[in-house]
Amino acid sequence: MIHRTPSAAHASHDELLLARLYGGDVDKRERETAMDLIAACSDCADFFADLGAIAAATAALAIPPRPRDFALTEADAARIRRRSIGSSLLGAMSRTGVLGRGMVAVGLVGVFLIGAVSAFLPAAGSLQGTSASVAGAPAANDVSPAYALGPVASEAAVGKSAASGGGPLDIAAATAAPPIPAPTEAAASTNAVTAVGPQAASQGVVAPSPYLPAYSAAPTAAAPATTSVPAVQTVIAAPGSGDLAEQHTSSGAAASGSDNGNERFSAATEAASGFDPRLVALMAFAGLVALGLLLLVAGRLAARRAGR
Amino acid sequence: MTDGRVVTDAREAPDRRVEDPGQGIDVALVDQAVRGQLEAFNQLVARHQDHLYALVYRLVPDRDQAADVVQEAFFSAYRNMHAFRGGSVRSWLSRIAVNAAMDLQRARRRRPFQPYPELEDESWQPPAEASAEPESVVVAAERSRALATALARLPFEQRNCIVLFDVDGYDYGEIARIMGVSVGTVKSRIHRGRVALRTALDPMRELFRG
Repeated sequence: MIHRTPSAAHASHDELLLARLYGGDVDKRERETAMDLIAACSDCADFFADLGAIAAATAALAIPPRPRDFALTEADAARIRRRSIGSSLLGAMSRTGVLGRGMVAVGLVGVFLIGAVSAFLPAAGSLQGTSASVAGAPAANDVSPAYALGPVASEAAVGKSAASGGGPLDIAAATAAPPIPAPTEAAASTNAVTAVGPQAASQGVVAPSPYLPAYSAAPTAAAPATTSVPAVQTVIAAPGSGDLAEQHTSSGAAASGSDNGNERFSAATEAASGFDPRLVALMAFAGLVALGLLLLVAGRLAARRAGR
Repeated sequence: MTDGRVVTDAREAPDRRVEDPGQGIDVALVDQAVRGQLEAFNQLVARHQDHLYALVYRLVPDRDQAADVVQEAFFSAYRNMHAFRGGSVRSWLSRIAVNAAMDLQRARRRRPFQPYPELEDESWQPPAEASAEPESVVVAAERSRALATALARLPFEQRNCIVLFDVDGYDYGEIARIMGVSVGTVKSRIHRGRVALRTALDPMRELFRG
C-alpha cells in the first residue's frame, strides 16, 4: 500500500468541486475550474480517477447469495389479507393529503385571526367602552363611583364605562359563590361590560364588547326578569335611572332587565370563571392543525410503504 | 497532468438506466396478482428478488437484516398492489425496498448496537472466476471488503444516495423522490459521500487501480 502525503498546493484544492464534476453537477465556469485543477495537479487528477474507480467498484461489489427464497406462502397471503382492514385504513390515510393540508391551512388561518383579534380588539373595546360611557354620562343623576361594587365586581370588572353610566349604584350580587377576587385590569379591558343610560341606547351608542358573543341590550319592559347565569352573576342596579337593561352573561343565553325601570347591569364575569371564548376557539383551531398534521404524516407513511 | 487517463463525466453517460426488458410481463403479472393470483405475484418475486436483495444488501450490509428487509418489502408490495400506478414494476419494488431499508437504518440509529457485525464475518468470500489468478482473487476480496467497510461507515443518507445513483442508476430526481428530500440535498449527499469514501479508502487506493 502506498501512503502519499498530499502536496501543499493540493491541500487547498476543492475536492468537492471535483466530486461535483464527476456527478455532472457543475456549471460551465465551475467545469472549467475543475478541469484546470485536473490538468495542473496530479493529486487532483488521481482524486478524480479514484472517484470513478470507487464508483465502479461499488457497482461491482460482490453480493453474497440471498439466504432464502422470498416467495409468499398461502399463509403469508392470508395473514396479509387479514390485515387488509388496517392497510385499507392506511391506504385511505394516504389519500387524505389534500384533506390534511386543508385542515392545517384552515387551522393556521384561524389561529392567526384569533391572534389578530386578540391583539387589536382590547384596544378597540376600550375605545368603545369610553364612547359609551361618554354618551351615557348625561343620564346619570349621580355619578357614584363604580368601585362601590365591592369585592364581587370590582372597578376593574365593570370598567370605567359602567362607572360613569351607572348612576347611583346598588349591588345585587346574585351569587352563590364566595367573594371572587377582583379581576385584573387586563381582564377588565377585555371583558368590558358597558352600562349606559337610555339616551345612549336610543342613540344607538351602546357599544357591546365585540368579542364577547352573548351581549345584549334590551329595553327593560320587554325583558324577562330571569337569568340563567350559571355560577356568578353580578347585578348592578341604578334605581330610577333608566329603562335600559343590559346584561351580559357568560352563558350567552339570557339577558334580562328589571321591570322597575332600573338600569340593570348583569355580568357573569368571564375573568372570574376563567372562560374565554377566544381560548376555546384557539384550542379548536390548534386541534384542527394537529389533526391535519396527523393526517399528513399518516398519509406520508402509507404512501412510503406503498412505494409511492 | 492527467497521466493519460480519460476524464469522464457522469452527465455525459447517455443512458445510465438499463431499460427493463420485462416490464410488459411485470405489469401483466401485477394485474393477475391484483385479481388474487398468488402464483402471479410469486413469479414477480422470482423475477426481482435477486436484484432487490443486492440493492438492499448494499444499503444494509448485514445478510440476515437485508433478507428481512426484502421479505418485508415483498409483503408490503403484496399488500399495496392496488396502489401500483403503472410504470416500471422494478422501480416500484425498489422504492418499497429502499424505504423499508431506510426505516431499518433509522431504527438502528436510534438503537446503536454493534453496527454491521456481518463485516467481521469472513465465512463468505466473493466467488472467484475459474481462470483467476490467486493474487487477483485476494485483491478482489480485499477490495470488496474495504469498500463495504467504508460504505458501512458513511452516514446512511449518503450511502443510500450513492448506491441508488451508482448501482441502481437512478437519477437525482428519482432519488430525491424516493428519499423524500430535495434534489439539491441528494446531490450534496452524493458528492460529500464520494469525497468521504475516497478519503476513507485513500490508504488502500492501490486496490482500486487497474
